Amino acid sequence: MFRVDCSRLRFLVIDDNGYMRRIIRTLLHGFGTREVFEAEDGAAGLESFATHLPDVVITDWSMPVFDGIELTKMIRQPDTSPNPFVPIIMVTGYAERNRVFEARDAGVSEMLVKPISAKGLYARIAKVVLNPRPFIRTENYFGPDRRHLVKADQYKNRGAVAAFTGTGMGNA
Amino acid sequence: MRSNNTFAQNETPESDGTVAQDFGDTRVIHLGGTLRAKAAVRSSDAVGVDEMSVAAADAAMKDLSGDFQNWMGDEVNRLIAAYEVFRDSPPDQRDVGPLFRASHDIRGQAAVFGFPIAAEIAGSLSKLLDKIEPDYLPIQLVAHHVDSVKAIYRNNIRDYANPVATQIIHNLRRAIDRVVDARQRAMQEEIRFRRTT
Repeated sequence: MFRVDCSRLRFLVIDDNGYMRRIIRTLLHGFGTREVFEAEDGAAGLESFATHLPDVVITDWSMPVFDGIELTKMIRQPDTSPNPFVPIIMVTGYAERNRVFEARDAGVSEMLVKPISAKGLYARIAKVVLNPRPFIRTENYFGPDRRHLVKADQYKNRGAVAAFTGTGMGNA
Repeated sequence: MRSNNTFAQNETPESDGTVAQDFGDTRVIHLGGTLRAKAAVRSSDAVGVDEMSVAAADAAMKDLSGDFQNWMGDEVNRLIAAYEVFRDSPPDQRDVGPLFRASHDIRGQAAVFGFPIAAEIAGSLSKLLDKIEPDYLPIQLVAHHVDSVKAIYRNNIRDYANPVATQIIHNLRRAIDRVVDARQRAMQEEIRFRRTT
């Protein structure tokens, strides 16, 4: 088995609430992380992302002016982003099904519903580092495969169908 | 190059081991594991969870928890201030954003601060603000929610067994029921009116 040595990772935490940033930073330092950068809105977060090139982004959803969904879409621009593959963990109070789908469709890697816990945050970090999902690029989507537990055989089968029908795989 | 998929086309190996495969109009990119190579270490723990790291983070949070009472107070004051601005603004100039964010933040954080009932009530308020247009918001019900969060904090109510908590939740549910009943009656009236015209 493997675990994640967080001291080797650089994090960017984006949240308009200073107390929440402090909580997340405290947890990350507890995991052993030394490099934690912070931003208080999506626009500042995007700038910080380009400057510091973090290994993992942790963002809130609801922020004034430029929210976590818009931020994710900007980071997932394959032709302009400094690292469109960066894992994005969204920490949010939203637990509704439609919200989860919206985050997934924007390209969020993992969601963590508040209240936040050390175990929950560590589990999400471990997942994006140890078992990252493949990325999908279609005309309408760029981001982690939106189906969890994807197996290579599924791609083969769908590829075969696509080749047969000439329709392609669609928006996976 | 990794190549055992007979249906993929244009496999493109990168220097870090990333492989891209095209299936019609879809490209599947298997990341080379750069991050894994950087941060994964062998663990004797059977489930792969770094219990020591989690315990250290929990301990750090415990150290921080001495501030939570004051932080909760700040968040409640922010909610009250946002509500008062919303209430006192002319109806056509009401901005629900600050009130929503204040309630949404309490929804997410209050349980960490030790106030799970306040988190639940703030969650109810944020849903109300999210789902109903500002023009149609029942201001009395918004006020009930804000007052309830305030009362929970000022009475330092941290668990559901507290009789004051029971009374506050009971009162709030009655207020919600009244609004829902009134809305349903209004809708029935509207339907009846449409049928007769």
